[in-house]
Amino acid sequence: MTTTTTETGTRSPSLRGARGRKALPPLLAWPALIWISVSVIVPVAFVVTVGFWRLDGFELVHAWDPATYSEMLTDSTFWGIVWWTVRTWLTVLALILGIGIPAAYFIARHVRSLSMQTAILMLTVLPFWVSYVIRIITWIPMFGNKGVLNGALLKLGILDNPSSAFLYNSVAMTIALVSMYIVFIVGPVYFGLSRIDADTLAASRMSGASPWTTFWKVELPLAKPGVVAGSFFATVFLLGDFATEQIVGGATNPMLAGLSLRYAETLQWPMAAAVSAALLVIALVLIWLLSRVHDLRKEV
Amino acid sequence: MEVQTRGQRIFKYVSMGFLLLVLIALYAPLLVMTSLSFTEDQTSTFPPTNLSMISYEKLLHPDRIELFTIAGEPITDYWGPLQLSLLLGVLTAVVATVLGLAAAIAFREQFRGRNSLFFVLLLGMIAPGIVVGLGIRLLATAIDLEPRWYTTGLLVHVGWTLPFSFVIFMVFLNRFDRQIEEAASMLGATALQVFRHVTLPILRPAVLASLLFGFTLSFDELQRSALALGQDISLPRALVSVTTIRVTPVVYSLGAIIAIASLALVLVYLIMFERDAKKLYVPAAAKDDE
Repeated sequence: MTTTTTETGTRSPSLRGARGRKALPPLLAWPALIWISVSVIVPVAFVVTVGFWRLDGFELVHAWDPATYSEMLTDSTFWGIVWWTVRTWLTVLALILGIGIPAAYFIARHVRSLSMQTAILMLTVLPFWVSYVIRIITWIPMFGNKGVLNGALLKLGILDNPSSAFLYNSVAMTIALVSMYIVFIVGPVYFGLSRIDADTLAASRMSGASPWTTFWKVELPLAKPGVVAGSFFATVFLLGDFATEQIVGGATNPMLAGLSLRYAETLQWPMAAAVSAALLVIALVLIWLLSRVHDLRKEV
Repeated sequence: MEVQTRGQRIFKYVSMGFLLLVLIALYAPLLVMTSLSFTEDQTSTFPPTNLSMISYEKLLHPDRIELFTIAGEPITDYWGPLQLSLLLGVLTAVVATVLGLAAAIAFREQFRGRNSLFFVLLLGMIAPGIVVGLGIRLLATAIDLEPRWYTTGLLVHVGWTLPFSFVIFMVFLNRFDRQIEEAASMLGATALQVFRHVTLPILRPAVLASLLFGFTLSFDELQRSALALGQDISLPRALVSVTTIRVTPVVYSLGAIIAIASLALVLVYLIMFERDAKKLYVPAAAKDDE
């Protein structure tokens, strides 16, 4: 392959490839690799380790004691929260895909001009740049006692009195999560769909395929990398999310991230670490499942 | 395509409905929040009544207690957290951009373990935020380092945004014609000169994108900051803790300002990107056509 111009200055092209592969990564890669090791790999490994430590009063004591892990794994509340986390992931993913894919389909197939497509696409992506805590907070006046939904239902005569049942529960949390993470789906799926050329679609149509069959058998498979990429980001963000549950979910029904944080805030470090380790395992399993659908490494 | 069957029409209108649903879910809450920032009413009543700018005044002058005349209204000073978040965001963006660019240039080469190390650099965006935050907090305690925004905070914020910067530069460098660099060096430019006068100007849109991502991701970061910042309160942390007391119009006015500022920042970037794209890429394409 090519050698660096930056490192070796002038090197005649004919010499290229003669040196073969270098044994070590170039110097320029080291700062980033070291930074990631110190700020991500070591801390994550440390969390798994501290799960084995003991708490003596407020003091963390080094040990190889599986007591915390076994306490966690034999606790039915813990497994309830694991299932709740996975279920929320499934629900949110199903909703953002179920809503986001058709929306992307409409932009790619039914919006005529390319500039209009770009403009609508920008609209669907822009809110990603608005602080996510603020976007969670915006659901309070939507669902609150005197909020938009209550106001509308009162006007329509469906409700006689404002209801406080819409906010601070898992439905409100799910809706907020969907609105938060749908920004990851529409863009990537649109790019997948817009790359399919008109001849391919015409071929499918002329062979007698209905729009539904064409979509299911031709377009969706070709847009798969976008679907998986969007799902990947939604998964990573969602699994670490505790604020949505705290702000609009009622703060009584945490997912694993929230559970770990609560243990940490009450200084129960080994249990916080054990729960975080469990979250890590679940994250890895879910990401592995996504990579079975499509291996994103092929895209880079 | 012109003759639409019934199936196609159904498909069209159903998918249009979903697009509208997306746009409503994204923008209705933001617009409702903004409208409620123009009232003193503490109950989040929509539509807002008694329109006034007082919550913006309260936001700007948290020290003027006479403005806070409503019983039980929490007074929160957001300026400290805002400054901290801005500073941390800028620092994070700059450090992550420098490291990401250096790494991406290095990854143009082939070397042993390149694919695995590429994956290692992406770990920062894969690891769940709460696990990373807890880990750095525990590590800091173990080595007697005080968790602050400029120690553990900066460390994990860069660890979070660096992979994004790296990927942005990788994508740009993949489309980069290295013969331009070779031409410059054959004409006698030193390695540094090639980088300064050839590589960097072409990568300008990527540098801007990397800074924008780094700043915004850090400015909005909560999952790691919850434990990594120690006693330092960033803006997202301040906002979360305020919601446990009461969400007031002052929060909405802050939200509206941040939303508008963020969108303006992205739009400025898009305009600059567009201008760069015209300047840098169109002449080359036009030449190809000749």
